[in-house]
Amino acid sequence: MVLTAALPLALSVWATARAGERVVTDDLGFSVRVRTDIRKVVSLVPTNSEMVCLLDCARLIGGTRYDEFPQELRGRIERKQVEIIGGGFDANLEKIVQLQPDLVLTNGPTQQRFAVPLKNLGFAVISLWPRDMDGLVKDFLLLGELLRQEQKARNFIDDMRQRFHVIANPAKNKPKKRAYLQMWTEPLITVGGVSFTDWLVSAAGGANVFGDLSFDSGQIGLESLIQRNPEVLIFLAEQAPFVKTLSRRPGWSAIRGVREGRFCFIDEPDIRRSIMFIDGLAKLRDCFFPDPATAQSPQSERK
Amino acid sequence: MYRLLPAAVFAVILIGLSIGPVPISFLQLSATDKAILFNLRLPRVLSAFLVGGGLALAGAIFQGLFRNPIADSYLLGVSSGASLGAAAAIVFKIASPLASFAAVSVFAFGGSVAALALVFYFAHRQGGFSVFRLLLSGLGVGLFLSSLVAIFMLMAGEELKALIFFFLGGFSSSSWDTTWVSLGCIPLAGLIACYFAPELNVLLLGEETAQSSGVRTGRIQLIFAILAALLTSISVAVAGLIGFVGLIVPHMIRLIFGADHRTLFPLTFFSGGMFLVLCDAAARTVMAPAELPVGIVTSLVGVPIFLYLIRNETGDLG
Repeated sequence: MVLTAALPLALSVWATARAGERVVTDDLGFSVRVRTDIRKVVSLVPTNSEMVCLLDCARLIGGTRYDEFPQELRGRIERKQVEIIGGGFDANLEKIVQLQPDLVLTNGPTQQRFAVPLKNLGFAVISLWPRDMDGLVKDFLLLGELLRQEQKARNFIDDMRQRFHVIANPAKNKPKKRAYLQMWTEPLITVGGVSFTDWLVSAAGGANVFGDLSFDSGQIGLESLIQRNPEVLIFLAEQAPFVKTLSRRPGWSAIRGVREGRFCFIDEPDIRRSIMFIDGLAKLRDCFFPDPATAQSPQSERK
Repeated sequence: MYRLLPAAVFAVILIGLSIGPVPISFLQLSATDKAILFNLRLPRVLSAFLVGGGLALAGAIFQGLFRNPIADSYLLGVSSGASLGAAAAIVFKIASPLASFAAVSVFAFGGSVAALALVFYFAHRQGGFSVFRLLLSGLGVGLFLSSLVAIFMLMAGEELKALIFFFLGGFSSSSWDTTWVSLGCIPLAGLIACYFAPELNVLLLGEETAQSSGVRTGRIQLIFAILAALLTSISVAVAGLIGFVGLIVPHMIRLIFGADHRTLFPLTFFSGGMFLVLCDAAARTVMAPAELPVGIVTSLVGVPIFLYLIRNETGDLG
């Protein structure tokens, strides 16, 4: 029994394409054999669901309970056209197997605990784990190819690049603003250097004061925050009550951005690792450079 | 009772197999149903059964070995040792649970043996183990090793963190790879434990008495210590830290059937297995499609029973 389970895994390492199939290499370096006519996709990550849906929503048959973009997907979930297979940490293997998908999309290493058993059962599992725009473009083009929506994917990317330049260019030659992005209040949790958000902040003209830390997100102390002295502090919208109490909290007034009142609020979806990151980028750019000379952000439309 | 046991085990496994987020009709199995049943549910139920049996048996062994009613792998810090061993193997890139589950189990075993040796060293005095010293040593060793695991988690990059979560994952990602290791080792350890059970009975009378009746106490203690460490480490490698199974199941069996290890061991093994299969079935149905970590279910059921036992304990625990 263990042999029959281990065999597909061993084969996938030296995967060679057969008729009606192709071999792709995913963001974790795995070679995966995928059908060329993919009709049913299951996604274990909201941003992957979003990207599949932007290309061809009808082919997404399974998503997570946190999926909310694009609008079309919400409608499909309400009409039960998309099955909820759980969340990113508690995906339900039985439900996924029941859906018999041609392709399963996971994120980085945290979902290997689902990817491995699914691969053992013979499913095509691809890990999409971009760290910056290049990575996103590569992944979105790959999805476009897999779903045979290459042209649509390219159009999306061209449009995205255009908007990216309009937003990012004014900030390009200015000195980077030292920025602190707070993901959680007690304890203080921020993003480190190996995160998509870190890249997003720098593309918007900021420099993450904790960009030297080698985590995706993690806990930091107020002392080191004071020492790193950010010029701009970015909070999630739900942290507004916390920000109101900042003046009463000892130590915070030693931070330049706090003294100058350079606070900025974003929503969690603004920094999501999706091809639709452009709206969030514009928001962050305006946080760093609020003066009208640079604030010529195009009418951003939230899909 | 012995005749009822196989029927009960069979019934519980059947319950475990038939409960799940996808309803399956056993009479008309489609290809998908078969895949779910044989490749997901069967390894999961078997893993839960073997881990439950293994943890309960490890608890029974520790209680006999230390002549102490509230010893189990979790309270003695042996489970923490196993997770430290596995975490160390992953962080130092010696073994990966994705590539070779068996290799990670070997390191978990090394960790649990080391933890147990520490507890032995700190708790043992002439003639045996005092309850206080044993529990405090176990608590201390367990907390210390758990903090080392936490430091490893912080040291590890995102990729490794994910791997460490892999073996803390309960049974939700059980597959044949992980079941195979427990299927090979846990029943074997159980049989060896049953074989030496009579000598452990004699050991219960005190080390001196046992020695004078011809039992080689040191050798017996060593055999049982290794068996219990093995059972603990495989359980931890398969399902992470699960508390209280090793405590309450042997207690129940002892209350009902007496403290003879010849009957205590097999009964404890099968009851522990059934208990965890049922806890896991509850874990995946109570809040479906979300799953509760099975450790939460065992603690929810186990802690009240544990406290009840403490409340009604008439003997002098000190």
